[in-house]
Amino acid sequence: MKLSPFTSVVGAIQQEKRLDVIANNLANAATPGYRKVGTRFENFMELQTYTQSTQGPVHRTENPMDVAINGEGYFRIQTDRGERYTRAGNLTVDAQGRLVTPQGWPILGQGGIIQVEGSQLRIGSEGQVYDGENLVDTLDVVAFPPGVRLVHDERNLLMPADPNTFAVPARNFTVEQGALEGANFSAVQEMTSMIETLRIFEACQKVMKMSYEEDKQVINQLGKS
Amino acid sequence: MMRSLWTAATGMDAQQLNMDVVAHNLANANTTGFKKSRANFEDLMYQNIIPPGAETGASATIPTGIQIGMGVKTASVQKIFTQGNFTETGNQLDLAIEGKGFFKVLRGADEVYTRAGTFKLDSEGYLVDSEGNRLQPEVSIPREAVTINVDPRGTLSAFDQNGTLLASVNLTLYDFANPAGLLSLGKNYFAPSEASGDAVEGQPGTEGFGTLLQGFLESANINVVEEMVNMIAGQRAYEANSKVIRTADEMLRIANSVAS
Repeated sequence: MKLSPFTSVVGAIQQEKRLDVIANNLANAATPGYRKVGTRFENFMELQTYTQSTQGPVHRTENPMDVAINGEGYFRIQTDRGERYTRAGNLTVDAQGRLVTPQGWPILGQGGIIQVEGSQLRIGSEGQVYDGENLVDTLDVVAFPPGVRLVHDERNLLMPADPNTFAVPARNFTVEQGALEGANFSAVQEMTSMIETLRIFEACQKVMKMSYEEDKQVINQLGKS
Repeated sequence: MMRSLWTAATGMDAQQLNMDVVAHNLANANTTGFKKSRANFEDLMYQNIIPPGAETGASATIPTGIQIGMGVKTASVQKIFTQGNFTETGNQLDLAIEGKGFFKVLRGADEVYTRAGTFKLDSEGYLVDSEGNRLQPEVSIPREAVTINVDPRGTLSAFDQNGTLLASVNLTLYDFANPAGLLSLGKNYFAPSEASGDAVEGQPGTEGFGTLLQGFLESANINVVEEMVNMIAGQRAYEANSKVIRTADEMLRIANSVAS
């Protein structure tokens, strides 16, 4: 059988892309609420990526402006490109007293943009936002029906792959104040995938080389007779 | 050329900055009124090589497509204004703010804000901070005063040696809608910015302002163990990103040796 150099070239290119994805995951090791981009191969050698939505580790920061979701759901963020979703709860208050992300986009409560007077912010386990003793609003934690795929927008934001999908209120979650959720990938797994990627790439190269040698022999030996 | 090389470089850059922030926090472990910083990271843009939902055939669509991210960038380095611990000094002009608020001092011609309440008297009897800048509004203590008392609500009373009240003034605190948006000037000073909003004036202990604690100083709000953990995590993440560069380099070497 003639080994196809083209198959191995395609294979090598796919592995290169896979390394790009792994590199992006590892680069975001310290990004709060980052969702891992996973890869899988379908139909023999067709690379596909997906956003992994498993829970990331929640660690205490003791900063009252940090919130983490335990369980399902996303915070709703209003951006100038439309509504986006995130698990990154490192919030601040802007000069107008609105509760915003570090990028300055307002986080949405059930009543829209959340306005706080800025004294003592307290956030309850269901997302209730108290400004001192007053209940201002409740963080709108939403989920997507099963089968809806989320893709990454830039800057810690996610969006549904199909823009016509609507979010529904999340059910199984608690909101924790003074904590942040970390990136949801395991460094060990990424490192292992990286080694695997390298070795498959090497194998593809061996196939290319064999095919190259084969051609060389054919040309040299048949050409002689 | 391989994207992953640059992606990993953004990761190493981010961790380097993270380390700079941690180093600054640790270096100020004993600075009065110091507020720690934290680097906030966000992912960079994604390249949609095949957009999700693209048609691949007559009736087939790709459910997820291929999205490749370009790495990480720093969204902001944020000051975290949580309360620091109190250290008792016994000095009657040391003031700690328990809760929200800043002291205002006049530094040259600029009004700047600080939480470091190490006050002293200058040669004219005015209350000044450790840099010699006068507290605003100015407070002067009569020369004969022996005992100075500051109550939690900010009333400063000066008494002579017989216990006669010489003067009584109210100290004022200032606060911002978004203290994290203040501009750090160094030496514990902050200046208002577009992001912080304008200073709001208030009496200690009212309208969400903190109370004053005489004879105490506020320590830095860092937790050394937490910073150490951040440092270790940052170092390992740095290492992981450098391994990506090595892997990408190895792949390029392999690719280069196809036709050798």
